[in-house]
Amino acid sequence: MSQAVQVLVDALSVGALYALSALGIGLIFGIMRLINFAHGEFIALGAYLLMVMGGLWVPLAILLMVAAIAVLAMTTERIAFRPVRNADPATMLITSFAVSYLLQNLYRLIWGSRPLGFDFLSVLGTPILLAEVRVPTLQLMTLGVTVILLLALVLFLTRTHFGIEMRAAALNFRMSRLLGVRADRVIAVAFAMSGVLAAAVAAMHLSQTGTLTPVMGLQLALVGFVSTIVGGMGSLPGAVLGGFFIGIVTVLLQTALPLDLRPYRDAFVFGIVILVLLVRPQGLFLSAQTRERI
Amino acid sequence: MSLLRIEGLNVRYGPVAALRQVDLEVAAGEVVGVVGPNGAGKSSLLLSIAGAVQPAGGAILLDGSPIGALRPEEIVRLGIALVPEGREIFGELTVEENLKLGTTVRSDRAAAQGHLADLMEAFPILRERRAQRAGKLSGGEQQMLAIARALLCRPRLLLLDEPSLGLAPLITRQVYRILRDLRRDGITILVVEQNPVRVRHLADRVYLLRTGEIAGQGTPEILGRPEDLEAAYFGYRKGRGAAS
Repeated sequence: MSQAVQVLVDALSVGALYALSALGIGLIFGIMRLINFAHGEFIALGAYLLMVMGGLWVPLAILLMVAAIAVLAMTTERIAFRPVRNADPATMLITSFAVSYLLQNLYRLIWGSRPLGFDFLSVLGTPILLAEVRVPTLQLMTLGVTVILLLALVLFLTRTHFGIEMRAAALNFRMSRLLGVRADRVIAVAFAMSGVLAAAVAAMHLSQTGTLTPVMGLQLALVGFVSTIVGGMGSLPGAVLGGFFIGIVTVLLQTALPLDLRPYRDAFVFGIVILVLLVRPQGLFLSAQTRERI
Repeated sequence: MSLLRIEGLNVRYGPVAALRQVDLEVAAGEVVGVVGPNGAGKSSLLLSIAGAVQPAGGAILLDGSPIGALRPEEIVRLGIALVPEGREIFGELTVEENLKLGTTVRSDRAAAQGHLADLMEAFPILRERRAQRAGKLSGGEQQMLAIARALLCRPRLLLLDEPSLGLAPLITRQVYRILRDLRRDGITILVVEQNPVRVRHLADRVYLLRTGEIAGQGTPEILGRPEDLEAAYFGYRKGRGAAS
């Protein structure tokens, strides 16, 4: 019983990380039909910045890092993505790869390609006893922060006029503009929000792993991307649920697979993803009618 | 001076010309119909006026100032609202959220709220279903929602793209009754339709559009004998299509 709870907490905290990554990618995709592979580099820079600001009071360092990543995301949009906004999806995709490689190699120049270690909030690794289950504080924190971020996002998207504008833009960009929704502003805010989500993932990921590499965000961006597909492209709740789904599947496989097969865990994860998409090409959480037409 | 004046408008999609040298005028308070078969360029005309399609040439003037190069979000702020073909309501959002989006251009928040409440009075079905997903509405209800949403922009010129498309005859009559009410309220309307009979009873003047060119214009009486008109322009057989 207690082991089951342990696995559940593990699964949820990994799922939370994936869900936030997926949401960062899904927000941009919904509005611009751009798959932003540079999202992983937003995450990586967040981690590096936390290391650089290691001497600062931690909450202040986190706040500065979040602001910096949001600004980086908005700058990327302004410089790299706005000029190709009306180009075909392939052009936008390649632009996002270019930005991704550029940033990755920039980090390589500054911090080298070798993994660096940085102890970030390692005190949170100490487990607390919850009903006979030892749960690392960090995992609870991850879940807590994720829930708060998701709630804040939901409130913003449903209760504010600008939030409704953003949802409308994600559903039908042209029609929303015909009603006066300002394209530049909606996209800039979407990038800023996606930057904030990347920053949150950076802080959580760094505190869990304690290592930094220039390509550390790649895996998260990739899983985030796959999550949006599994959840149903263009649907934000779908992206979140897709992230949790993949996180939970990953952790369950980690527990259930025989020891010899564990190194190939991701092959099984993506195998399941393929199966899911064969059965439900529109994604798990979208109805067939609202399926994305690309 | 005309409210809207279009001179030598050309619209192209790649190598395909959708509109060629189109001249058109709408005076303030007037209801103008554009009639033409499928693929004549009716939607392209409205989309280029609303700014969603960039003209390849010619001029679109609102009150004498060119608007052809402006973005859609700027044009709607100048007072042109579009009820697009297929209605394009936001199906995943609630009816009320759809209506709120109509007030995006309004800076007078309180008055806009009042306007929204008034429109819900005028369209009781929308008030009844305000919290429902708009995608659940019937076609006719969606059309009313799209019209109400456009009216919330407080347009000086309302563009309507085939308001009867896909609607049952009874519902179409309801929608056109609403349009006649709007006309009585003095709202300037440019409506395009495939069905000439609908427009005949609504418009002050009509244009005939065929394969991207203006093929005729005048009072609705030029649409008076549907048989002749159809035979001449659309190639229908007698007794089909415009019978309702």
